[in-house]
Amino acid sequence: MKQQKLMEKLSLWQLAVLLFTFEIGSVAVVGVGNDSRQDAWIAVAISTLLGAGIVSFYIMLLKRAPGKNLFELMTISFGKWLGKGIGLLYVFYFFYIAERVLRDFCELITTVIFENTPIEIISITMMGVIAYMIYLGLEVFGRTGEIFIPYVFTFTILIGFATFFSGEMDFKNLLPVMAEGIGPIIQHIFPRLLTFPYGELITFMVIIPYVTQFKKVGKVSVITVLVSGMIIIYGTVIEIATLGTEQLGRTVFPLLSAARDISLLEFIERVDLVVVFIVMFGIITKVSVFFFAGLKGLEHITNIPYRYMVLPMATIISYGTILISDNFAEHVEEGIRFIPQYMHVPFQLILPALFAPLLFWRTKNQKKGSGHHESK
Amino acid sequence: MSLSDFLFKRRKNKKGNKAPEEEIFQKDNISKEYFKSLNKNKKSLQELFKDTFDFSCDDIKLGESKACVCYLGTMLNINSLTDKVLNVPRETSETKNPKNIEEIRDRYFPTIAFEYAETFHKVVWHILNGFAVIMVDGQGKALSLEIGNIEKRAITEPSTQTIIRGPKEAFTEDINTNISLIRKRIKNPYLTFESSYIGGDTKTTIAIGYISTITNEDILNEVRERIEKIELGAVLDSGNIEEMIVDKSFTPFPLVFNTERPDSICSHLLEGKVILIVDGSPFVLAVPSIFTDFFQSSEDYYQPFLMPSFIRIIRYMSFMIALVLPSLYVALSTFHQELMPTQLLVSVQAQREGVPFPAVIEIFMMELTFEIMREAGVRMPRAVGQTVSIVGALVIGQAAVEAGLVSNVLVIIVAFTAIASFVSPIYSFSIATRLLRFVLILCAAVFGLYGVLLFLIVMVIHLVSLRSFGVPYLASVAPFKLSDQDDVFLRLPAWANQRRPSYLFPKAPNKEKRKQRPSPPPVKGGEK
Repeated sequence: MKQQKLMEKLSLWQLAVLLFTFEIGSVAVVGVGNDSRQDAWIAVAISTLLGAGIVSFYIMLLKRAPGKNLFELMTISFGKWLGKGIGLLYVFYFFYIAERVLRDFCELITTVIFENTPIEIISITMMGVIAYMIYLGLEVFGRTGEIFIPYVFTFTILIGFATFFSGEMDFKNLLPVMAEGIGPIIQHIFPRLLTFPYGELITFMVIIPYVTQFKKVGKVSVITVLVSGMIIIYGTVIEIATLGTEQLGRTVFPLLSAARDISLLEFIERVDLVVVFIVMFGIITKVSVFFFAGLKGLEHITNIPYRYMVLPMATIISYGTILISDNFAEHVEEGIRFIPQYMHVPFQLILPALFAPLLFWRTKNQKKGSGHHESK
Repeated sequence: MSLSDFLFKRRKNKKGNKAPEEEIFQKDNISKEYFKSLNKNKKSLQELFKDTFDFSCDDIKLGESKACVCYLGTMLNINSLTDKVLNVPRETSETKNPKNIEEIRDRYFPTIAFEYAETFHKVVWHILNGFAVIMVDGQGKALSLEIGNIEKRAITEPSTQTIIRGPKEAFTEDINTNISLIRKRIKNPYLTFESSYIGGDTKTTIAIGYISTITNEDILNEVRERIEKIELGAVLDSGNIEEMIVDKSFTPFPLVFNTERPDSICSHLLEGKVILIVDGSPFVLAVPSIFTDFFQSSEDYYQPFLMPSFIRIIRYMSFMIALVLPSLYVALSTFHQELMPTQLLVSVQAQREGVPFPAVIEIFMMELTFEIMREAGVRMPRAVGQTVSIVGALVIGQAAVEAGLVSNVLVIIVAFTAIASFVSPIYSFSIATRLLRFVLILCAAVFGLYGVLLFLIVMVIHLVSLRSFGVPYLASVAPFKLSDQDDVFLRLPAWANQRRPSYLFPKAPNKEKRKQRPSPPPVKGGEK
């Protein structure tokens, strides 16, 4: 029984699906931000390329010790105790981001649909579903993604077409291109855009070791990141063209506001609700990935199978979702000002950059004894 | 270990009970030994069957030796017994006496199918199976003659899975008839049937069927293992077996395919599945079975491919309709009125004006009424069938609306849901939707669309976690396999569908070797 569970594997397609939904998940809720105004799509395009670079960097690290995940890599490079200590920091980081992502969605639901429902209800029910899925394992998670990806994909595409045919899009909103030069774009990219959808892929360093065809992982991940980047550009263009930069700056849930304008055949109206429900799966994927990554870290640190910790940690996260900020404004402000600089950058870029040379050095020395290591 | 495994831990037996015939009665404290002395054997037989009126033990004489014919009068045709056994001229003046049982058989019963019973267990087993057992004094084994001719139901048209075009035979309750129905269709020496006996009290014959050149060994061994592990008092239908061999019993979805159509079972065999025939049940099981199996009718393959492909999509749609339509109504009418187009909203609300209940109560009432009617329709004697349809039309219909109990829209929704739930070709699958529908209505009543979607996600998570004999239940969709898509949502034409489903890991992955897409013959004497 246990043997079987340990052998859980993801296929390449499942990895691609998870990566894709992960990428567009919360971007679909809160959007990419308004720092570079009508040039946001250019910023997204550039950061997608950079993101592909980051992902290849992560995968390069993983390939130094095949089959080992982020936490095991850190133990290899920093040694047992320091590695576990830093691993614990990552666990906190992952759980905190899971809480943030979930909070985004809870705010969306309580603002748009259930104005009178306490936010706790949403976070608890969502976390219940996520805990159930993670409890059943990574394979189930991957397959669930496979079931939902056609809906997520087609509906995302359809929103664009529907807004277009409703005549709500005004492509003049995209002009002027780079009115204030490249400055704002770069400011938007770093640290915000680089870290928010792309740098977060560091969580996949916990998942990728479970993929069956490890050799092709690099190619698949980079292509998926590029494709999802295109979808994000597509979404950003819809948002800018439909809402215009002024309204985009004021709205909290841009894609939702854009979809609100859809009106086709005098029958398809008010589809913004439908958007909420499509977004839901993206959020579930995203929270699950963070949640799973954190649990795997705990498993590595405590040597207790992660399934035992699913329920307690899910409880903590659903509570933490409410605790992390008093109101939505505070939550958003933190997300823009504080989180990218002080959390994303160190955890996604600085720490990996730090342990990369160590890892290279260690694995070079260990190459002789690698056979022995694997047999353990 | 998953939670449900823990809660519903299956009994694990120390050893398998796939008993050869001799060991069948070991648990029943029947002595195994067959004596040379006729009287001893007779005594113990009479002891065993002492109060049974249909047991007979007639003394006869075969040449010089004393003998006795034992049988259950109800398990064989008495006339043929008289003709074949009792009336045989035994006082032949011919030469010497037959020395052993083989010679006795040669001389007196040369034309009857026979078997020797070396143990007492086997004697009892043969008697129970309708043999006439001849025990001869001084012989170490008994001669069992197959008289046969127990009454059985004739082969009829299937009553649960009807089709328009295609074979119209259905399985019957007799295992031999069923096997012959399959063998008639697959004339293949590699088609194998293994038998075992299950049920401490009933000793029911079960046949495991497979085509040894196609079926994967691992799956086959898994089936054998699970069948061996079964320890049941009684097996009266294949449904009893089904519950004991599934991977997970805490699920509304059927993990074992059942059908009474021989052609459908044959197609499963040819795909590389293992079938289970239980004596006494016209429903034959096929494993491993996956979600999409339950949306395929054998008729799909007998009609030109375009229409069946369309029909399949209709089936999937009606599955979704049967599942979510009532809950969508609840969610829309109580939480998300803005999602309805204004005109529709106005007319729906206008109709609901006179209704004194909230939408949930309204729909629960109607759905329950319908479930009751459906159950009544199945169980009641045929003679009163008319009554239910007349009264039913009153309960779910205009009268209910006019009485101010429910609104018109609701009646349409309930009726449409009911119709949609009948579309699934396999009855045991449509039961699943009936059950889940009520849960969904509750979710919709509490959380609106959010609840519906949350429940659907949980359902999908549950579905993907299911396995049937190790094969993922949603195989070929999740995990996705492009090469298997030729027979899932669409039914591609036969020439395009040459591979067996890969999730079954068949030994022979291809059905035919060469490509044989039909094309018109080249025009003779045409221009170059």
